[in-house]
Amino acid sequence: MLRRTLLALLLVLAVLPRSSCAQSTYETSVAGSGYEDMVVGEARDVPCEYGYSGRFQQYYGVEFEDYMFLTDWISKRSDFPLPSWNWYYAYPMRNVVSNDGRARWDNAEIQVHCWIYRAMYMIQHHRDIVAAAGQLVELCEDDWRIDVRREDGDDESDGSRLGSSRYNPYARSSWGATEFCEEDNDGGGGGAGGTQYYPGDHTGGETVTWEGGVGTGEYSACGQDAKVEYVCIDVWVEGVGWTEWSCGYTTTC
Amino acid sequence: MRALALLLVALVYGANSASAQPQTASNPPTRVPVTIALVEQLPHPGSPFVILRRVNEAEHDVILLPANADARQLSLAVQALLTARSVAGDTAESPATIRVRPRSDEGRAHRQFPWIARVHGDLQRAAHRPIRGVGNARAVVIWLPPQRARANR
Repeated sequence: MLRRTLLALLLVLAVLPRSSCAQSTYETSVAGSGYEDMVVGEARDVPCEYGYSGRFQQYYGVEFEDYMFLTDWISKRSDFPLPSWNWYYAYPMRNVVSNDGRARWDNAEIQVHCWIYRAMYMIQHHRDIVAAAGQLVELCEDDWRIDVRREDGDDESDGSRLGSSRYNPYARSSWGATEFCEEDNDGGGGGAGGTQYYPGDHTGGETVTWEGGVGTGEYSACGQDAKVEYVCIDVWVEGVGWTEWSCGYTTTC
Repeated sequence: MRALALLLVALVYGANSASAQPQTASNPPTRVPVTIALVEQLPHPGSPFVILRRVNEAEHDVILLPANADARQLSLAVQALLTARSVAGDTAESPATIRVRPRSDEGRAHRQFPWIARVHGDLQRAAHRPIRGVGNARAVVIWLPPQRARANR
């Protein structure tokens, strides 16, 4: 009966999904752990470690305000033994760019609760993130100058607009999720839309509708250099030649 | 019995470790590529450059420039592609060979993209490589911000 109960319990444990949210667990044998005095089912707080690697919680790192951040962590305290509830700061950079490059976690800090659980044959070591601190900053394309490193260096980019000398045409991505900030760091921007422009007009960074040359409120790739032009797109038709497809207003640099 | 328990524990730990493996290892690009190629002769007269918009080719957009094109013409060609993409989409729905011209015959001074000289130099030094539908040509690939995505936000 006891054996059947234990087997059923182990089978249940085998199919239970492990939470992937802010919890890290690893197991060691009881013998030689220093916790041989613990009884099965007992939980005990233990001193936290001095540092953790970026993936100690999840493969992608730590989640903060819906963004994932991959960075190492170092204890803010250096008096040993460290407490069971301990604060850590991001290391080596205190300000960490998210994995997708869309946000930055300034003064990133986490609080970890370190405890162990005496299971039937193992000691389960738990490192739970119970709190986080810092400020989340949504990144725009001009935030390229932040000195951070991404694990995927292939996407390193200067992140600037087309009209800027910082634009890297060989980068497949920019730092930010959107190529253009909602607020133009150079003082111009999308605007409210609705302004009627004519060829030769500067839009201050706004795009115009193809049909009417009216400001859209959207941000132009040319930034402050955006100037309205009336152009035509022709398509080549075999046996006929260049045929006008459409004419309209656009912003050029 | 103990061996079975250890095996089950190992299965639990192994399953959880496997579930932590990432589905994808990298983020998709946020920009749209274009191939720029220098050709001995443009396929059609009447334009300093030609833009090929393809659907079934790996290189969807190709800018064809004559071999003696300068950085200014390259900049105009890139600007033309951006215009075409803003109107017809970052990826073409149907294949076409296009050109973009000002409605007025009066020329307007265009400021070159600051980075265009670098691309032009790289293009001049690029090795010949086959481009489907074009042939062997010096070519580079650059990445441009999406146009239609902005318009649809």
